[in-house]
Amino acid sequence: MSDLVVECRRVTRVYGDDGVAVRALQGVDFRVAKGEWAALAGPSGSGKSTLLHLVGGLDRPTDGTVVVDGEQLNDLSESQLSDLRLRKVGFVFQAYNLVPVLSAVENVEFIMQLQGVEPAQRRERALSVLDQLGLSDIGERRPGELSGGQQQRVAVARAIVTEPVLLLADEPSANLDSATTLELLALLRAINEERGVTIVTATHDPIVMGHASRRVLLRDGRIESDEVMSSPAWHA
Amino acid sequence: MTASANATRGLFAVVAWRNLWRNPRRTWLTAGGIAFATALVVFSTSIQVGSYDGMIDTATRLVSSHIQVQHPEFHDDPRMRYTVADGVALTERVSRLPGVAGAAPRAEAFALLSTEERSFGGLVLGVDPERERQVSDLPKTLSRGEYLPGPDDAFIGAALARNLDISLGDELLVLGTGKEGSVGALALRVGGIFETGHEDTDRSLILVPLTTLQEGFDLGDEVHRILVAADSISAIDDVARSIELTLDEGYRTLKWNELMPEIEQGIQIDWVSAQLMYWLLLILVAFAIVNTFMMTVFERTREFGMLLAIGMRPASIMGMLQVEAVAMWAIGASIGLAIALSVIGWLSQTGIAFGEIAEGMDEISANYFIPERMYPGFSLESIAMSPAVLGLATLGAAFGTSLRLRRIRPVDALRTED
Ligand SMILES: Nc1ncnc2c1ncn2[C@@H]1O[C@H](COP(=O)(O)OP(=O)(O)OP(=O)(O)O)[C@@H](O)[C@H]1O
Ligand SMILES: [Mg+2]
Repeated sequence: MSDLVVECRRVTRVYGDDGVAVRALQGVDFRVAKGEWAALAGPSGSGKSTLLHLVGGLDRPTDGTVVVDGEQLNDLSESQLSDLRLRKVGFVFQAYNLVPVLSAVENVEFIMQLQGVEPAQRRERALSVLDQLGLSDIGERRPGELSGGQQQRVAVARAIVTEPVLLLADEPSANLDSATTLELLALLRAINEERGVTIVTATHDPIVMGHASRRVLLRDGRIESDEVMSSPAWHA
Repeated sequence: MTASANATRGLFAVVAWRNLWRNPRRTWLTAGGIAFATALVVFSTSIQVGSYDGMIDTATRLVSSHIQVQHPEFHDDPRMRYTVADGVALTERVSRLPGVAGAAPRAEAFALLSTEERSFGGLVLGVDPERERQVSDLPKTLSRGEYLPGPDDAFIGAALARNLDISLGDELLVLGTGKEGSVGALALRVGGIFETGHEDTDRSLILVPLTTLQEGFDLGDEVHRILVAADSISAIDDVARSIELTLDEGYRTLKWNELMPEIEQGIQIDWVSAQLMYWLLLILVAFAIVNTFMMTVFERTREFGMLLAIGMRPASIMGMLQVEAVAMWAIGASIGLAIALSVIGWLSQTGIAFGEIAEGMDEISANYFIPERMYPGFSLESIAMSPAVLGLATLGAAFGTSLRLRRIRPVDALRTED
């Protein structure tokens, strides 16, 4: 596969440099092709978040190399990494995704403003993304006035409005009930299938794993298994 | 590019402004501190400046006036022979200069003032009775009799009259040394008694007509001082300069602060000690501002971590906090200025009467040259100082605390559980 969006080679991440060093990742090789949805699974502490952060340019490996969309992250300065996150990666975290004092539309606009999009255009694009995700009704509400599921969906809107090459989601369903989780997953599925956005999620949740096109199981900082799902659960 | 840069700043301003009202109580407390300090400092400096002007005015009007022209040696060594020739003509010339409200000649002599029973030392001023009114308030302090009705009449201080045990119409003998070393002598009659309230003046001063003193003390047409009153305190420097330019060498022009250095020193001491108080207050408020921003940054660590994670630059977040700081300062400073300026505006109509504030204030004011009714004084410096200092403190506080942003690692901030 030549269309690699993510390519990690022999990536090691050690936390703490004194006697109590934690080896969160130990020589992991991990590739994600364009259009894939890879779910990182594994027990707590197995290194899912750590790997996701390295892939998103939020953290640097102790050893090994990370390449995102052809860019070798080890070579980038802090501000270049910041720019890469702004332009190429969309993030959905477990919580606290949104600026509390901005409405849903304004939160979606905010990231485009960071990118320097013209005011008229960014409002239009924000409204259109919210519309496509069925969030038009709640556009004027602030995060405090939204349910957890609604907040996560606004975060997804914020993450995809800039048309990133890669969407990263760390435990996106951790605070949601199963019905809301299914709605969110349907949304991610549509984004993945219809827009061809590459997705990597880290999760404990079997329902999330079921929706991905590939499941990567981590244990003690190593990849234990890596399987492409023949018939994802959402088809059922 | 500029348009989008502006737009970005526009949104930062929205976030900054709404964050101010996320915790209105804290914002009002901090802005209130800024308002309080601004109002207090602006108001009290303007009262101070006003009281200094009033003090200078009262002090100069009593005896010495704003400016004097003298023989070059006279001020440091006040001898009889250090005179200015043709004083009357010179007074005429000076009185026509722009900015001059009035000018008057004076000759003076230290002398023994005697009645049949008693003698006291005192200072005899020879004045032009009419012109004197333009440069000093002495004629106005008449308490009994008349102010210099004839050539042999003396106008003497109330305490001196008591000490000499004389009254209106009584005889008074003045004995001193004339200009050429001869005996100077005047035989006078008490025509009027004045009471300024200023003890030294009331105890030791007598006024006689200028020509009387010139004749009795061999002075011819010479005088010792030409007193000049300017149109206002602020015009003094300009008037003094134009007098210096008009006169040839051989004269010395002195301003009130050289004539009465103790008044200027008093003002300086008062100013400096008040400045210390103000700075202390401003520093306290600055600490409160720092504290507010520390709390802000601490509470919003997760939000800032998220913003850093999605690719916002630390400098942009700092900029957002600066906007917040400026807005808070603007609210506080404008409220403070509005309060101070309206109180000052009101007081500059009505004035503050010290006599009405406390019993016995009259006497104290007379001795310390505090005017009866005082008006606040304006100076751009005194109005701008505290808002400017607090503005810098606010920006500094926001900047200093936002430096902590650089230590926020987005990954850690996002991991924080609550
Ligand atoms: N900042 C850190 N300092 C020290 N150790 C850390 C840090 N972050 C993670 N670790 C350790 O690294 C290991 C992997 O952590 P990581 O968060 O990647 O696990 P995870 O698979 O995401 O777990 P979970 O399912 O609980 O989210 C764990 O042992 C964790 O304690
Ligand atoms: Mg995790």
